[in-house]
Amino acid sequence: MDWIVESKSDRYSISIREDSERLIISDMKKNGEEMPNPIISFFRETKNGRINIEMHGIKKFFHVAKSGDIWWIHFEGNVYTVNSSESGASSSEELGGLTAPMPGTIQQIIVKKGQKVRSGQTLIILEAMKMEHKIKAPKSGEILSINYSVGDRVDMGVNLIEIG
Amino acid sequence: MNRGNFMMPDWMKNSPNPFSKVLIANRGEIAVRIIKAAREAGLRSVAIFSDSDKNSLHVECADESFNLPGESLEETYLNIDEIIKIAKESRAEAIHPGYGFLSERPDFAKAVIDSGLIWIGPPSGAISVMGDKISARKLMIDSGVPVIPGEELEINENAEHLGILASAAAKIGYPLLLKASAGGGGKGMRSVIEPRSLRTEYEAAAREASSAFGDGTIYIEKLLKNSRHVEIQILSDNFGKTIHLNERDCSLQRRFQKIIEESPSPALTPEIRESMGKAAIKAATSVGYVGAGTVEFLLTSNGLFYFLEMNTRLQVEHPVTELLTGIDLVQKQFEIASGLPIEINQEQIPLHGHAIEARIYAEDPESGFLPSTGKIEKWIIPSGPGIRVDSGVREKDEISIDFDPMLAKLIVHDSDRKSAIRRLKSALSNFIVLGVRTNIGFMQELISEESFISGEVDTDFLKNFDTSDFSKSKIDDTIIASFAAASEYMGVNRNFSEYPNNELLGNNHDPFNILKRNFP
Repeated sequence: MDWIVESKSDRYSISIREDSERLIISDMKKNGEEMPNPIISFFRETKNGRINIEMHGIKKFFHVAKSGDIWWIHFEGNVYTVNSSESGASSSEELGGLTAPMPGTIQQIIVKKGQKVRSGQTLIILEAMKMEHKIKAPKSGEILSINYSVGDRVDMGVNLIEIG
Repeated sequence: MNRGNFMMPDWMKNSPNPFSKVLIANRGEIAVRIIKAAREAGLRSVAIFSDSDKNSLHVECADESFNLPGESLEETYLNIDEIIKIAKESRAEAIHPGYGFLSERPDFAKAVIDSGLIWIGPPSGAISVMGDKISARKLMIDSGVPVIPGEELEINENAEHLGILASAAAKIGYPLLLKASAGGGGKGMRSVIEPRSLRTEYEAAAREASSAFGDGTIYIEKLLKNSRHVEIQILSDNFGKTIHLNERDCSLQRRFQKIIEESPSPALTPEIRESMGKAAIKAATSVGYVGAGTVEFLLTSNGLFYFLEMNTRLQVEHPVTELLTGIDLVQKQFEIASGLPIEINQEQIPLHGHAIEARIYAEDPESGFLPSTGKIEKWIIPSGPGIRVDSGVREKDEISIDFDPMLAKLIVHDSDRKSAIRRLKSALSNFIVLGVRTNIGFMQELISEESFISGEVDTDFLKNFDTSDFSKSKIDDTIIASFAAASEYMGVNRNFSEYPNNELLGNNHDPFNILKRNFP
């Protein structure tokens, strides 16, 4: 499991270990390189999305909620989003996954699963803010999966289509 | 009027036109506000809702609710005939229009009154006159209320129209502002810095005004730079009495949309407040106003003020005045609509401490304030002394692009401006919204800015504020990544409240819990 914070390019791989009633970080890698483990312990008892922690000896807490594929975190007045992806796998874009550039409605799906497409070919038309946006293939390949249907409303960043 | 089990609330005892049930022709936070006020006032409430608002908070808060089927606003919240029909069917005796929607439609006011219902608002004539910027301006000039140097132009799309426009513009001088007569909320407004941009800006403004409000009339006025938007809240009763409840400074705007409002205005002296108050009262009296209203002024850096417009309804930022004066404006609207006189006198209007409102929007400041959509997975509002949150949304609500992206208003009150800013900063950091991007982080940065703290903000402030510049006091990514990893490990995204783990229940006196432990 790789973690990506706020859609930046760094990938974190983190291992968690149980330590009596708490959880601690047993291993952390940033882009494959070993990093010092953050001195944080997490209390296992959690309620309503609030997680209590101890950080450098000070008791703090954060709130967390998952929406679709995205983890939302609120900590000390700021909100962060985190995505996860399978360890070792390339990012969504490299795999040929196309994400929605903004929230909108799927107006047209021009291709079918299994269809072979060229780089630059229009695959989906997204309607957002009263305008049409053409979602084009970033590379040539075959349509592996189409994750939505015509009429669906999608959020920004969701994976619309996979090309392999 | 058959009121069934209606127990007349004691405040209504001497009302010439009492009513027991009110229909709220609106949605979202203002509908929630009015419905709660109705409940507090001992009145029954009727809500209306479109299909997409079926599970909304305002529907839940009301005593009764009626669906308006349809897709467009015309079929739902702007459907005058249907709304009046629902009022009659539900035996509502009064209608409160809230803000936006039909609140400033003179035809709606007239239709409500003609159907024998009580209209919680000003006479339709007052709405008409003040709704048309040109006629409002003319009336203000006649009433001795200062107006911005400018020219009323009725422009017809004929061959000479650009020539007429150009000579009027030359007379007023640049920079100037082109305003659509029927515009509002920032639509149909274009600034023109120099003569060569006049034609393109005029055409753009005319197009915008036409599409938003169906009327292409335009007028021009001098653009006053470095000025503040200061408005005066007024209350008028049916007996010709009008008082003002001090000002609200709404200078912090982005693309003409207000985001922070406060009172008292850092730029006002008691003398300016008194003159402005008197001018606002003159404006209200000139149209025979009844109810709650707001007169907006532009205040220049040398202390001169000019009439901008009058809003013939309750405003979004009304809580600022409520916290400052201790007066419940919606309650006052009910009282005035029932025919009661305003008992408090001008000298008795309090001005206690300082109040600031921050509007929380579902938008992403880091992507140029694009509207944000999604499901509110977590919604925890701040609370404590001097902290108030008005909202129409709650946890698990879906935020779509359909309606206004304002999620809530956070209003704080404290003994002075510095303390109020401190309180606002703390309240913002405790306002937890997960699942949808908001402008909360942006606002924390904004109120930490030197110029905001010193009270020197004017309406141009945000234009010069580079949003990509501000560095959030954010914590290292490794920490955040580990938070997510730990949450995943703990399975936090599972809904614990639905499937409680016995070990976590902790209530040893629950017989069923004990049973489970002994007899697995």
